[in-house]
Amino acid sequence: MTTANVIANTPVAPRKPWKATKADYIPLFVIFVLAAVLDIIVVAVTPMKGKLAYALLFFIFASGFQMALKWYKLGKRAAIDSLAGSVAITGAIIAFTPVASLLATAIVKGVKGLYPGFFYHDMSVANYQSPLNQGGVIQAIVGTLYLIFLSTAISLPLSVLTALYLTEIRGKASGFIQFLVQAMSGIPSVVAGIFIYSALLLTTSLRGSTIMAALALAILMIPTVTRTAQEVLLLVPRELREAGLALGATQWKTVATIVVPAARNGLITAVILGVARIAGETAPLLFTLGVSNKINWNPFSGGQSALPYYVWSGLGDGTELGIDRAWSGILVLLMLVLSLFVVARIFGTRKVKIK
Amino acid sequence: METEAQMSTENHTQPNSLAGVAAARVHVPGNAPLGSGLEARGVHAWFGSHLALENVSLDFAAGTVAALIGPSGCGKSTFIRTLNRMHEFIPSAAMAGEVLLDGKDIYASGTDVTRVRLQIGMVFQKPNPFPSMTIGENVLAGLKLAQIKYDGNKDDLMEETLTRAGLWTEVKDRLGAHAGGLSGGQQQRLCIARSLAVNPKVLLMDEPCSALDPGSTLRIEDTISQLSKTMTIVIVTHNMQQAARVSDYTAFFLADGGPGQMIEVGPTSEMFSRPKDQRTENYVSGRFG
Repeated sequence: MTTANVIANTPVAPRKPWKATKADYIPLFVIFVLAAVLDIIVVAVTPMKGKLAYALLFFIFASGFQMALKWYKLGKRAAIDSLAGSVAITGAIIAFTPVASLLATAIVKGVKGLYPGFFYHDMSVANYQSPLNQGGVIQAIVGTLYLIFLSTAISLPLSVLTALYLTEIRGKASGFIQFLVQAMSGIPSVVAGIFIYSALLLTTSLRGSTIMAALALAILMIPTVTRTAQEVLLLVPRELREAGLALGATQWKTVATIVVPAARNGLITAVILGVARIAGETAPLLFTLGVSNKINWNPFSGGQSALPYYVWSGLGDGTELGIDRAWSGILVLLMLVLSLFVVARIFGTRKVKIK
Repeated sequence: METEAQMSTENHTQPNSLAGVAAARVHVPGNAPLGSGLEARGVHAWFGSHLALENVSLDFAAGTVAALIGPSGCGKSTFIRTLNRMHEFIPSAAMAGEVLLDGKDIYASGTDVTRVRLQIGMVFQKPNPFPSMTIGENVLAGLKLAQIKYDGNKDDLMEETLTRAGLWTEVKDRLGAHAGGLSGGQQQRLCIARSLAVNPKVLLMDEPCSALDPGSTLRIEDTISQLSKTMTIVIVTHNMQQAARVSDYTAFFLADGGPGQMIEVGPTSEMFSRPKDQRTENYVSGRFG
């Protein structure tokens, strides 16, 4: 491969000498085996016991050996570099483990209650104690989709406009609004529910419905989306704004045709974070959603169901079947939210072709 | 290939100025001054499946200044980035061939990449002083980043490198100020000073003057002439007068619809007065590009 004289017109294979080769993984494998063996021995002979001791010692041995090898091969700088790498990988593993464990639990426990009808039956034909092959969550899926759609429709324009006010217009009230947004992001979700309940339901003849719950969720979504949108708008280089303005554009045209499209991917991330914030919220729904065990297509009147509410009721039911149903509801909620994010990413990301 | 045959006869000519070159005054441990130059052998570069640069072989003799010229998109910048292993930061990048520093392939397995980059410095097209650091801290940033223990007086090193970069008189009273307050030309000279403080054997400059005014450009060209006594310099430039002024050798690159290739290389005076290839002739006489 690395012949000194490459003969002209002979096709030369591209290579990536910076990528680790199979041979580079052999010492790593040896180090892991050695660390594991030493780990078992040390745990056996010392008073340190338990899974935590295994994990901690394995990390110490593996990164220590790796460091020593790097030190021997390339010196101290490379050894410290390798330690930093090990710490970062370990941190990622520590952060990822609970998430993976949670997902695995939801899948293992949730699969039990799943059958095809779960996705198209509603709960008017069954109750929580019915056998698991009766009833389903279609009414809750419809409700949750309604809630996500409506609260996004309410909060997205408000949030983006607020963010634009804070980053583009920079008006006199910026400081105060910034303060409000910060304060709003600390509101406990139950307070948002109680707010809508006391402001709109208790004092009027209105009853709990999808739109009421969506309003409560929008209160929670606005600060998250605003903060994120603000950050991504600030990332748009000043030069782009200047280029637009220098072409004679008004501020509105510059913002609408240059700044916002440039921040598009970030704004989609803002919406995703906002939806993630509200999709699983249960507390605000208890005061605002009303109740329904059937699909309610009308978001403006009548009770509604939602997946978090279904899970909450199932757990509250307390029976084995109710709890199984709750786990299935959790799994469906996870799948629903995940697929919404995938869809948002696919349709929202502009494909930039690099030659 | 005709061009390769030409260059192999020409680039083994050692410049006379090499004899009696004073050892670099700034001495960083492990970085011997000058060395024996840089040599590219059959370098190819890909982005994904797109071959951007095909089979470039070029010797950079120690203590010389080589200019790489050619129209935009001809692979000059890609080539220069393969010389200190910056090419690989582009995710889809691949390469073939060898780059020898003091006779050792910098792409060989087991190479300490960070040490390679310590020895082959780079000045970028856009001035990029570290915004969080003062002017003085920027100059010494390399020592800190590369974790080099410097035995000498750091103030002397700062003065020395800033003087060599032609910036000392302008900034000596405000070394504690932030680098963002400097003009573009000053920032670029600060970046050159920053590269010099770690005393590289080779300095790669990717269109270092493209955003600068003529005064700053002349200063930097002076700096390059001074530096060539103690290091090997490779400069990519779109300014042919600049190539003519500063370089000992000039290489002409061209991508004629296909991948970028080196069309011709030779002593700068010959490349500009009587190039062997018609395409070089057209380019240096301003008929295209």
